[in-house]
Amino acid sequence: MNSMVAFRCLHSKIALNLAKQNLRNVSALCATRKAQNSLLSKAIPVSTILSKYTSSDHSHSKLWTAERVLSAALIAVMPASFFVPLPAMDYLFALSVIVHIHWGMEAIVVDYIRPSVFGNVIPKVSLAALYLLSILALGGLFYFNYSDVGVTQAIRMMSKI
Amino acid sequence: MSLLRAIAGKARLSRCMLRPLPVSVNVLSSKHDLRESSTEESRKFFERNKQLNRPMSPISPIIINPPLTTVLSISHRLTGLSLSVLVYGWGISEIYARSNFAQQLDMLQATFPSSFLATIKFLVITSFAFHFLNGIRHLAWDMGYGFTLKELYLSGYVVLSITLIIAAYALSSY
Repeated sequence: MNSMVAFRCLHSKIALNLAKQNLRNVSALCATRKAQNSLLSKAIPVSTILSKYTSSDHSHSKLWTAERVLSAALIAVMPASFFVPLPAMDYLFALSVIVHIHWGMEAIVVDYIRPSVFGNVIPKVSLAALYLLSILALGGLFYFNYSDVGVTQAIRMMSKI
Repeated sequence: MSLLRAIAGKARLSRCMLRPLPVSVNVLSSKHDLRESSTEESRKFFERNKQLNRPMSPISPIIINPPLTTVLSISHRLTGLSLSVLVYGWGISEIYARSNFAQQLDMLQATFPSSFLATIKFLVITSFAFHFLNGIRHLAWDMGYGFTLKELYLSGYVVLSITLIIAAYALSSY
């Protein structure tokens, strides 16, 4: 019941925000008559406004971008860690690889361990387990960097066997 | 003329104000229902086919004769997943490790036959090469490039060829 009320409140809030946003757009756009020709091209597309206000989690599109930025950065970070002999590079390598893996595994868990197949509990438990494993793996590699030869040196050693 | 423009401007203004609202309200209220109705839709589809006694192929054609794009797509996940398992296994086992890395490598070589380790190494190199190259292909898509069917297959064959060259090189160095 409460959630229904909250849901409705959210809707009216969204509608109000939309109206405000459009008023702002309109007043800005109609400010000069010269700008009339570009009125339509300047208007913010409905989809942009919608996606801004309807997404349940506002950070998702930013998360998507962050995943891609990290993937692209890895192309440079991985070879750089082998050429730049700094302990910090081992930590950067471990952190970026683990976060990349975590996001990839998260996509796999969300795609295949679905509520419609496994019910409501198992998907949540799986995701929680993934977070736990990621934190342990990151901690393990950091510990290895601190107490042993470091990940890049270890990969060099592994490649020689 | 200016009167006309003013009227047109007003009409546009009111359209601007009104246009998004009905659409958005529609989308808002049906956002949740859409997902529900799609599962409902597929349930009806399977029920109807069952009632009509229609034969169902046990295996989808995409499994019997998968196109290159499908193979590369699932391989990207599989290679990523297998490399992940190795990295996580390594990272987590280092928490419990009681010896340094050089000793761990010695223990590995004493426990497993060298052919096994060489096979693992070959698989890791090949998987990584494929995942790396296909990942660049994915990033190109994410930036909006390479979506025509021709480009999809061309980039797919390029990724596959370079992976095979690296695999051959890895094999030849044993």
